Amino acid sequence: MSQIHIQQKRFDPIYKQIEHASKYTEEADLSPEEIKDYLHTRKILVVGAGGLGCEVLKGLALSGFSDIHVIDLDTIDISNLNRQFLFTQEDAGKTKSEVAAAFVNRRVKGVKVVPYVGNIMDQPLDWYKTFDIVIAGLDNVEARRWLNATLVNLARNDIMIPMLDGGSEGLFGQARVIIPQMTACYECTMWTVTPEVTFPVCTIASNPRIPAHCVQYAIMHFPESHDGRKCDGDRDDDVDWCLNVAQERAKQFNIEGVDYKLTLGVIKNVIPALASTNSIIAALCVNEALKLAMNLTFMKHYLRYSGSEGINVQPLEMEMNPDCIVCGGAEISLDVGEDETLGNLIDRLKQDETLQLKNPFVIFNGNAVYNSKLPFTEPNLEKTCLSLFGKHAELTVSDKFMPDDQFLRVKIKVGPG
Amino acid sequence: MSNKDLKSTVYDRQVRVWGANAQSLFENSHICLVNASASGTEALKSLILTGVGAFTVVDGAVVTEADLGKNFFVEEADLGKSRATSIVEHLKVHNLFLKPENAIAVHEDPIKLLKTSPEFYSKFSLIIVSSCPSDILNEFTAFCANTDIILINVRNYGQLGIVQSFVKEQCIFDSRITPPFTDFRISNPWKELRDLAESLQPEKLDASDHGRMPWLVLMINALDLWEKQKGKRTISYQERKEFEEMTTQWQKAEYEKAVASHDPSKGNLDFQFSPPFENLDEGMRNIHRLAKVELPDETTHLFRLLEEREARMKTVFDPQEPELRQRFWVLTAALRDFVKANNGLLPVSPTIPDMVSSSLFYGKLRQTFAAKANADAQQMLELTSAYIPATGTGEPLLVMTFEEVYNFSTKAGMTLCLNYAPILTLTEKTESEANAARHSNLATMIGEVPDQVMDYFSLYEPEHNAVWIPLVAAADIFRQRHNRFPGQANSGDVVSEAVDNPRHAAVVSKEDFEKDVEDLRTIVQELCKQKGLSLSIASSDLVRETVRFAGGELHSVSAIVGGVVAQEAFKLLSHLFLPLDNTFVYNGLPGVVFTGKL
Ligand SMILES: [Zn+2]
Repeated sequence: MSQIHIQQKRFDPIYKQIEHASKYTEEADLSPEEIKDYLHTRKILVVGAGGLGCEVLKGLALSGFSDIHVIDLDTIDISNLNRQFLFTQEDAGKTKSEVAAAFVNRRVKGVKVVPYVGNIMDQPLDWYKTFDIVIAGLDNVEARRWLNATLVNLARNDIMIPMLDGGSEGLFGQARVIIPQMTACYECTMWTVTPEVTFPVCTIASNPRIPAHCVQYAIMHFPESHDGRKCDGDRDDDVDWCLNVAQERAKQFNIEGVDYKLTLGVIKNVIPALASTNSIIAALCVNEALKLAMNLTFMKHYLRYSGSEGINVQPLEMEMNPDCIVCGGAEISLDVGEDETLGNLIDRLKQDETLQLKNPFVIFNGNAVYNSKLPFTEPNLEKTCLSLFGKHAELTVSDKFMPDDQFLRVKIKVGPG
Repeated sequence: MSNKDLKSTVYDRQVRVWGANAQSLFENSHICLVNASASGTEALKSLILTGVGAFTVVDGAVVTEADLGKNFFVEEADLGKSRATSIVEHLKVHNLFLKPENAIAVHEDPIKLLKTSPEFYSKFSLIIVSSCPSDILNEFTAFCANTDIILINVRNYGQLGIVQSFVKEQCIFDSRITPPFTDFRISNPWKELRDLAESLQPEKLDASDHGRMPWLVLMINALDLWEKQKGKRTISYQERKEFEEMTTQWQKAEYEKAVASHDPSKGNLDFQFSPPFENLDEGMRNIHRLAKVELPDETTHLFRLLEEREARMKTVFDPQEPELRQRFWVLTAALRDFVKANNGLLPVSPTIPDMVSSSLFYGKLRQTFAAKANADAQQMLELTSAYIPATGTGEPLLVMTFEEVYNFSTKAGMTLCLNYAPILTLTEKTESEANAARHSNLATMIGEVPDQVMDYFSLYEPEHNAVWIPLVAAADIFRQRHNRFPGQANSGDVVSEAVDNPRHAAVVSKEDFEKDVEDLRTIVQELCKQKGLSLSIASSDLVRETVRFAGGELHSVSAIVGGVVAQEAFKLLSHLFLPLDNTFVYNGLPGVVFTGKL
């Protein structure tokens, strides 16, 4: 049987969407045969081979994509097996991207999944340039921000790569479509991201009330008895040590409920994860990729799924933010008090909900004024902005999640209070 | 070491969501998949990963190229083999703890089996009917309504994904709905809580303790003061400012007095730490909780259902029912008696949120709640006995443990019971009066459909997407007449003989396509007339979109609805969370979702 024949049989339902135009389709210059070919030849990058990544790889392989690449730095853990179905118990300790790629290549003939082991931030820009679509199934905000900024930067140089971003937690999840420079980028809507909850130090140190406070106490004191090393949730000894200390503390303050599960959850900041939710969210992203590759309309722009009280699905149209630090003007103006220190200014930037900077570094006239990795800049935190920059200045601010050539311009004007 | 055993590690990330009880209820279920389509297989895959204890796949088809294009749990080597067997073989490895005899493949036509030996289906906890035309679904709906088995229909039709659920009576022990307000009993504290608050009145505190008082205690005391001044325990919206002012002044005055008389031998005061304190801020953020909390509507409704049940059956306890349901109604009856005996109050929950306070005060508060929750559960336990009949030898027919009653009574406001209507397909053979009402409800939801598919129609009014129910029903009627779905090829390579089609793979000519559009339009028109739906559905572009879908399954859409089914199946089998009641429609083109009761 010829290859064309097999394709027609396997992808008949997808082809049916292409052969007769939809009212939802933009007028295309391509013939149906060209669109089919276009779909089969897209080069697609999957970021993360975890709960969402496994589902995404399966989905792409069965949606007509054959040139699939996947990157992840993680290794397989037994606790992945309730949802990361491309892995078995025997795979524990092996790298996720390699095992996942091998499974899909074995199962679906005619598909090639290429694995990469490593950090997305270590991949060169030239590598990203080669993809047509990126699907992200990440578990942290910082990596999403970095990836988003990287793709927006490429779009500025006329290399437009759509990004489909999924996230899930328990019965909740979200999927969104980002077409760089055309729709809102991840950074445009940082307000939708809930900042991490942190407990005040005095609560941990002297007024513990709930089990998590006791575990935090253990984590805080861990380095003192471990040569300054931080506690590592992947090391059984570390978890046991914290469990012991936390239970001791709980007893002292009459708090119930400190057990192994809770301790591990606090140390590793465990996010609850379900097979079902990952299936929904990953498939939503894959369906958007399929539609993009078939020249169909895409979802606008963000869909939040919640399965706890019936099924609640919130679609949300996102507007581009003209002041976005990644895709907008990337410039903000701040009034600075005469005796305001650089430390104060940095705190203000960190507290800004729309910026959500984590660990900003500041450059003035091409010189590093503050960077937590450069100890000689530390004393500048105590100096006033006036003494450092004068009355009017433009500072360049960046953060770890921002690619190397991307900055936020902060214009400051010093005046009385 | 027991806490690190394999099973608890594998299921750790999900048990954090629903707890060990729900997990074990789920593990004891037996799920049946009717027709191993892509959507059904995806649903089953997630349920197997989640740890379901037993599953059966009923499918009379063999694996074809069409399956290889959309179903991940078949491979080339399976071509021509039983689809049920192949899928079971590939799926069963995804539950490490599954007993081999609990992964069952039945290579038979599911509908023939239902007609010849219906008892085959009686053993299942839940049946998933996947991508079956509605005439087949109707048969299973009738069977499940008679046998009290949970039914979920999942259908992937091109870019459409449909999920419909049916349960005769779903008892939910812990719906985890967001309650309007949890009752912390601030407006009417029980004796021990009142005693605690009294012992911690501001005038009795050391200066250093003012800021360490939990807001909950502070507010109980402030409300007492308010009552002394105003002669009432309610605070209107307009009076909130006044209440805050009063409490601030009181706290400040008492704090200053305490500072003046402070005994330095008790330690130095930290003057950085002075009023207004954070506990008052927290209290004001929770001011709505100072109002008396009424019995939730859900609970009132539940008691009404209980009354209806008693009137119908002349008893609360029915030995014929599944045990879980027996327990649910006995506990509900005890809850009703508890509420009656306690002036309309529900049993207390031991859960209080974390709040600014010292470990000592917070601990006292927590213990006060815990003790009351225990006492209330104990009272509930005693109340259950009136509803449990005894055997001839005097043994109770049902043994209630304290733990079980405690779990129920501490979630009392979250207890629900849902009664579903049979799945509506619009192709039912007989029309009932109840269905007529449902059709008019559907007509209202859909409203008028514009001729042209417009963005606003599909995007901004998700509820209008109920329109796909009659459109898919019309496609099913088309299939009965033409033996293929509209938009499918009439001839070409046969790719599937299964109930879920497509039967042939070949390009459909423009003329044939347009003819199908017109034929389907006629059927839609007939159907709309018959069911009282707007005729604008028949004249709209949506008919054409339906023909474009050609009855085929796309893996992506199948995986979306498959995941939805898996979430819903878990909720229904664990009697936890609020399940879908009763219809979900995903329209993949614009990417919008309809959910509602049809
Ligand atoms: Zn942006």
